[in-house]
Amino acid sequence: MLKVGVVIFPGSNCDLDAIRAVETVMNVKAVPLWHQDNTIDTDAVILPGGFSYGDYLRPGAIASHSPIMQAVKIYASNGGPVIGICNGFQILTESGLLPGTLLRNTTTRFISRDVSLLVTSNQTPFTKGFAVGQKVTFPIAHKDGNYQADPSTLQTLQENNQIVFQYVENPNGSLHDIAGISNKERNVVGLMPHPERALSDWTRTSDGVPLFQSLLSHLEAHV
Amino acid sequence: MNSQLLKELNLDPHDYQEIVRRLKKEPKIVELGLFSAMWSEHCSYRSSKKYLSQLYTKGDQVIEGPGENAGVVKLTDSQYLTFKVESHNHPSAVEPFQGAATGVGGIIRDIFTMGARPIAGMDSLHFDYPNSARSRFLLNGVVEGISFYGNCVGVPTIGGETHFASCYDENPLVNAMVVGILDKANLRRSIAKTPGAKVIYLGAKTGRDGLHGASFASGVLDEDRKQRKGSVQVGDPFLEKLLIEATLEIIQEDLVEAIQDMGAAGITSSSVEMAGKGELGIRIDLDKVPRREPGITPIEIMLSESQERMLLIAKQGKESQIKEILGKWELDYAEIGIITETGCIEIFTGETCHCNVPIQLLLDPPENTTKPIRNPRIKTLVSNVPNCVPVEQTEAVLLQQIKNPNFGSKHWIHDQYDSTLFAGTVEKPGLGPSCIHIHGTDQYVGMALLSRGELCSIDPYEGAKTVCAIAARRITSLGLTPTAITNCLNFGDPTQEHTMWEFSESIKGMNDALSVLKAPVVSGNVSFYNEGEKQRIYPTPVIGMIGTGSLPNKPTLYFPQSGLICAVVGKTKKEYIQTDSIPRIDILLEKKTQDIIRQFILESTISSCISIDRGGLWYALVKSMLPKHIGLHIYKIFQEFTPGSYLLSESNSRYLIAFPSDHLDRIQNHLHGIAPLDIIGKTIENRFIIEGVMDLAISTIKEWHHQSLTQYFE
Repeated sequence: MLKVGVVIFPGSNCDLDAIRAVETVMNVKAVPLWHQDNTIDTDAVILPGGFSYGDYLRPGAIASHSPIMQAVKIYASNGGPVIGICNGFQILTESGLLPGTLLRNTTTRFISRDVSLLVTSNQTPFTKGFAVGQKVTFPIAHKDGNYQADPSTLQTLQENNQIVFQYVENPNGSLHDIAGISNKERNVVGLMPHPERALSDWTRTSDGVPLFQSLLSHLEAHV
Repeated sequence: MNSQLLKELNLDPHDYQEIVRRLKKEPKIVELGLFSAMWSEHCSYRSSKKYLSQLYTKGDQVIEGPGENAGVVKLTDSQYLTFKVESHNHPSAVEPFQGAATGVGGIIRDIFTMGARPIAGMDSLHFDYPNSARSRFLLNGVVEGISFYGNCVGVPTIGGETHFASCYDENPLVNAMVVGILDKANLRRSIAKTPGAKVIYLGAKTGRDGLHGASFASGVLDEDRKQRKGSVQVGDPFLEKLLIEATLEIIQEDLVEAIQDMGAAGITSSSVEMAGKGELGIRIDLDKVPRREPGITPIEIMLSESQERMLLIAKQGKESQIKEILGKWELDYAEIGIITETGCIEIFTGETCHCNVPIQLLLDPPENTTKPIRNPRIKTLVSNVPNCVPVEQTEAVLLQQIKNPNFGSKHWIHDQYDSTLFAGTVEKPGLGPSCIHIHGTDQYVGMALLSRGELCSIDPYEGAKTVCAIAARRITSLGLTPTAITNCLNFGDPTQEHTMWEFSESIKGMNDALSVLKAPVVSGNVSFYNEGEKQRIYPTPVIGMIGTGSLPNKPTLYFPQSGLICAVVGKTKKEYIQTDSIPRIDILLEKKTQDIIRQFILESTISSCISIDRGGLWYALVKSMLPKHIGLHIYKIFQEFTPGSYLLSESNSRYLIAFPSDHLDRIQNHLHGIAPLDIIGKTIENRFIIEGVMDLAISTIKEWHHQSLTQYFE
């Protein structure tokens, strides 16, 4: 039976939403992974949003040194699908699993609103169900979502088609309107917007549903 | 007794005499400290108690009324909702960022203390107009503080209100409301039950911050008080997040018999109140209290208001399990005392006894006997917005109004709050009421938090009554039924007869509305002394109402499409807050209209519905038109009104509805004999037209609306 792990750090606060997304959209068991665990036996891993370790030092910095992240690194290097959302994305860049970094928004303020995104790669386990060029609406809620990387990293991202989502209207100053990227192998994806909050038209948009359906069909085909 | 000490403790010499009389001895310094805190207005409600006891508080839906950390109402057979609003006005006046942040932290603790997960927050904020530099400093700091704390601790802030008036210059109001959800079995109270039970302290270490906070909030904000930044606490939302998770786990495992957060007056009030409610005693060993710094004295420990601390009374034999859970969340655990049968609070360091007084004495301060008498010399302050708008000025007046920070967009504020966490928020903030879906059920919870300070300053009875009616009207516009309310009663100096007149009139007004609306008061907070040296605030009772129900369709507050008939339900009269004929409320009519409107929504008779209240029809229209750029063509004949004066009337018990033309008969039949249906026009794409008067693009209206706050901050 398929299982998706949701990592819980002290200060994670989107863990319940990620678990609900897995259980309701994918109809798959969600397994909480504690930050001090050092093994992973699930078929995919979600690093949810929040303020791991209170964002002390820098968002994601302390979490990247936790026991579970050492396990996630091994898991990812073996091809396991990993997605980091918001603070999860910050943890992935701090851990070196994804290139670049996330700085303070150029407005210097927290930004919470619905944003329109362009899907720019459907080559990852999480975006197979989208069409390239498709527009989707997800909420954002972050203060440090300004993606930056050096010119050669950006060039590599572009050449390898690693940019997964771009903002239609850039809210935070991100380089090249980047909202989400993958690693070169495409099994690790990070994005600032929250697809797990976009699962029902009653709560404004259901555009996040295909992301979890993509993962499900990927797992069914590969596990 | 040293008068300097009494001053420092903010203890009235008469109270001191009374303490000596009751104790039949001179109190020790720590004992005096406890009296100063527990007899402060903030902790004891000594001026308001007798009025609050008259409040309408009963109903089948009420599980826990006023007196607990928060009120509890029934949602379904297995789940309860708990909610409360609280003020943090004085700290925010002195240090807006930390004042607001710790205000949010405090109200969240009240919620999870009950065994509930906090799921949504709202704030009611009042400042001077933002053209004042101090007002901008306060607003910016308060919003950043709420954003900093609420976002990190993980409670979405889904709406609220922000008002500007010059009377809030010295005393801004910062009131925060939080709703939580709990399984029936997890409800916990703050009543000690078993002598011998261990008293456990968890959370942050105790420091010198927030010393005398309770007494700080129990006096007029003068120069001396403004210097007292030391009375303001410092918040750590990450630590609070750990406390939430650990506390809920401890409660889930059924390891405690009572629990209370350490709010105003810290260890003192939490220990005294828990033991007192159980008619028991408590013994505290101060050497066991985790401390942030050396040299902190017994009285400082007892009065510290360091944040993110909880006091719980363990079920016997469960201490090690509690310790284990706290260890998992990397939180301090300290057994600092024991529940006793003495009825006294005893405080020790080693063998030295610093305090031994009967708890019931601490809980029973002399009442404030100021008589409620109106002082006709106190003039009400009203702003001067025109109430009769000449036809040729319609467009200019309407646009100017929505650029006014009181009526324009508050997106500059809302965008700084995470409003979508938990993926249940139905609409983004800014439309009036907010609504969340309770996952795993067909239930929706509507929330409305509002006040009408200006109206209350003219007529506190009518004002308070109207606020309750509007809250229920907003809940109704979602298709939900009012369940219960919480209130935050912000007033001036309670030793002034006029203040107590305003207070007692407001209580009467609330009662007369709530008993008809069937929305009992289940929790609340009183904040007196909202006065500076120059000014007193409007009497500002803030009402937080929740409504519940299941919904067949997504609630739609704004116009969903063009081609719909648009109408006003209810009678529009020449009622304006700035004139002699202020908007009056007929509460029975209000209730009847609400019941019909709710039925329209639940039966899908109407396509959109929004309450007409503050700012009149014009403001309801702006909120209806902007979200989807669906405008309106008004072809109504205004008769005795000019278009502007019709659009700005604030008459009560009205709604703006839109519906397909084939539903007209049905709607008219239902409203017959109760409320008139005034058809004003048809929804159209992208434009707002008043036939022969004005024609504007929705994008133009949006631009003006958008600037209301950004013109001051960007």
